[in-house]
Amino acid sequence: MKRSLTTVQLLVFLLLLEGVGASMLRAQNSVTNKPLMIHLNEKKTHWIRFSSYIQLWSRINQNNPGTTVFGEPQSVTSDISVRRFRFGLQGQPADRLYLYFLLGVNNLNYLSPRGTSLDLLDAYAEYSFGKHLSVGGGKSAWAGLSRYTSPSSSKHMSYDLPFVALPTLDATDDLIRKLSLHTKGKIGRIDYRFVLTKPFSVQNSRSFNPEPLEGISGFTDTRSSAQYAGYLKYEFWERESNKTSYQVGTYHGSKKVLNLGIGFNFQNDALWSRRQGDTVFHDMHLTAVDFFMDLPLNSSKKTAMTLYAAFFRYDFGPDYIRQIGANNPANGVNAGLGSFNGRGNTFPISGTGNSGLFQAGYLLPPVGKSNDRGQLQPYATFQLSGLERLADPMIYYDLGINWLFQGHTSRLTLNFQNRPVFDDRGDGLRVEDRRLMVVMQYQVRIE
Amino acid sequence: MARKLLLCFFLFGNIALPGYSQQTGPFGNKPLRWHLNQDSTRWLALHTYVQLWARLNNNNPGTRVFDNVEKTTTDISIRRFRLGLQGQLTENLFVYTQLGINNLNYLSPRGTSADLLDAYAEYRFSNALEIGGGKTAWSGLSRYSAPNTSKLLSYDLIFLALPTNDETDDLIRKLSLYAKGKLGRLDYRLIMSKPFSVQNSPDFDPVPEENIAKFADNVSGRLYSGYLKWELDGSESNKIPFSDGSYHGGKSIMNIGMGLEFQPDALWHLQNGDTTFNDMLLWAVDFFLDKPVNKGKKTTITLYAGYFNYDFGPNYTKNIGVNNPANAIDPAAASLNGPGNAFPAVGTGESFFTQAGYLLPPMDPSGKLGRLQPYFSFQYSDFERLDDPMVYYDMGINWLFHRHLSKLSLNFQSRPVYRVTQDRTEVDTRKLMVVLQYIIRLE
Repeated sequence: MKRSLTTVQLLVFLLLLEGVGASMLRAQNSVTNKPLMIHLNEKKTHWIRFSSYIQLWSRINQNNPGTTVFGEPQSVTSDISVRRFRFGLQGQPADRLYLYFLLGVNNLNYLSPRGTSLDLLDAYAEYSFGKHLSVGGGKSAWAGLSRYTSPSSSKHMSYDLPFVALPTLDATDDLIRKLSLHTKGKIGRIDYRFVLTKPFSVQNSRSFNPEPLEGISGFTDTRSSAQYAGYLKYEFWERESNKTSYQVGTYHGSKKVLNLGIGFNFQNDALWSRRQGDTVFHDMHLTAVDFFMDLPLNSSKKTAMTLYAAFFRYDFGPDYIRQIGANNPANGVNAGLGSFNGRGNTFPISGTGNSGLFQAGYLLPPVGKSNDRGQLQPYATFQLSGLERLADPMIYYDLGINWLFQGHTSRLTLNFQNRPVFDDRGDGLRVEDRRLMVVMQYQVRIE
Repeated sequence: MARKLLLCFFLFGNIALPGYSQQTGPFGNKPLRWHLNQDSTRWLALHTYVQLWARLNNNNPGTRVFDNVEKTTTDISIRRFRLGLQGQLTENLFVYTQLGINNLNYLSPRGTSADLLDAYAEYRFSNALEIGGGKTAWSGLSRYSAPNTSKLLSYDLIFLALPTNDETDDLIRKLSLYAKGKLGRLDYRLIMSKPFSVQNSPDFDPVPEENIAKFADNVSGRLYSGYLKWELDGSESNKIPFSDGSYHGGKSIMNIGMGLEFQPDALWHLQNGDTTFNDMLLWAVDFFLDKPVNKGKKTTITLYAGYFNYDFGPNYTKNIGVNNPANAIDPAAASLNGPGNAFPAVGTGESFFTQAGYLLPPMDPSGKLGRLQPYFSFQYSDFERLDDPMVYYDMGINWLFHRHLSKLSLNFQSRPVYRVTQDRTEVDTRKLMVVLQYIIRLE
């Protein structure tokens, strides 16, 4: 009766081996594995499902002027990093009940502290009254404004997110997640989502400035207020899933989608500044319209075209500007030698003003004659912003190519990014230079 | 843990794994349990839950959020998140690991990590004796000193029963060795702990105060605790340390218990300027009843009552502000309570606690609408430090969609606010906290 522990360990090891072996064999020939889904009842209407992915970066960045790494000047940094790691569990334990838990890490790079812990990104539950109405609450990425304000970061077309669509990133949210209540649903061809949020305290934000600045708006906590957001899209062709908050960047020809969307994000007295020494408060008032098309072209050649265009009108108060250095490879700037951008790969991505974002991609026929070498997908992203703070328009662009071994689940991406460097030499903030960042990303996802 | 998760992962990959449990449980679902042998005596089980709060709190006097005065705070938060894996690896060997987060609210830093709450192993000699060790919530003193946080009667814990919470433990877990077992109707647990360093507690104050005891860290001590329970009616599981708050009519249970917790020289104070050490000596007796009333209507009554006698040394009190919605105070306007929703729930002195609930019949014949369960909690404490008795109460109602696994609770809490004057520490006013909680649990 009593079996020793080693027998169990062996058993477990064999199961594990069998699992890995079986998955590898399946991955070679078939397009899809069995999902990591456990059905909980006989009818298979109740289930839990696991998902996990990792995005690995190998990068060369031309650093902004004056950049230092722990005090040492560095004009170019090359590094290897984990851009994202996720481990998630979704469940449909009852007919109308859905839950989503996600643990994750962003930007584990050579500057990270020893020991980077796994954070709780999402934890929310949702009750469905029907297709037209679900209500939910918790910590989630449900947000309004635009399509990619709730982006699926592992099913995006480009190597990384369009940060202009994430205007409150780190200011009032935690890696785009918020503590919120949300409703969503589909009424005919209209897909809607509305979100009520208790913003994360701005004082814990990295960019927090405890004093208002003369003529330049900044986030404040002085008047605690809720944040409201919504997004409506009209689905002309096939309908997209609204099961999770995350919106997909491309379906690789498996879906024919054409949407027009409109959205907003509003918070009363969210920012402040000084006007001739007096403290004044500013509402955050952001609106956007966008267009998304994912069009299969030739079914035998498996080609497809993806187009996204969005217009963002942001009012954060006077001269507000938001700079982003994604997974920044540097941590300092030499005083006197720096630019407005700051360190590493940072540049102004959004702020009070208007922005246009365009993204297009083309999925080429399968590589080679046999069907197992994947498909190539060149793409381009272009952003043009007229920001109140800047005297010149902000233009940045990405040019890249995806090598899709298995759709989004195994893919290699090479991306070239060109960003402006702004500085003020007496006639306002103007583009003084442009810099390049080259990223090779490999993404593997199991679900 | 990571390896176990990974292992679990591959087990899940094999959907047709013969070991996957075939029983059905709540929601008409099979439990998240995988058998490792043919006899089904060895298994792995997964559980996870989240407790979501929407809240309105009347803040204590002088409360600030950073620099801003706030009289009332409304917020949305994650009170608890858990992800756990249990394994019965052999007939005699059991392991329990759990990751978790408490109090992820709008004041939390960006990036709140999932912490290792429990990690322990246990060996079974017989029903009468099991021994285990690790980081665990096994503890003595009273029934709810090891509470099952997702299976309570009330919306939240009885903080009186968690006197060393955050002082010498980490979210009620300790680094311990323990023995437990059942001898006939007697259920016992005995624990020896190495207390977590008090210096890492948010309440730590390195300077002793005249005639007010505080936890000290200059004597490395051990903490001893135990709890004995006599099961008058029915028998409860002692597989995991956590005691349930209500069985919703699934069991008829009545028991009486007694327990204690002791740590020599755990606290100190100044007596006429001289440093004096105090033992922590806590004991309690309690009574629990969970009894189906009408089998046809499935109604159930739940009753809990406990007497707690705590000696931490002179005038010790501990303010507890659960998932505190505020983080600062204006010293000029402050009360003894401190910021937000804190109040003195624990201290040297005598306390009486009672809790009762009544599970009403299903709201519709099919049971789809679930069931309602009104409850209340009441604490009366005569603490040495306070001149007025400390009385707090909760009134609430649970809407059980699927027993403890999907449950909405609305709770009203009234707490006292203490003013410190020249010669008295007395109740100044009372404040209200209203919490709407939803729990979803998979197991």
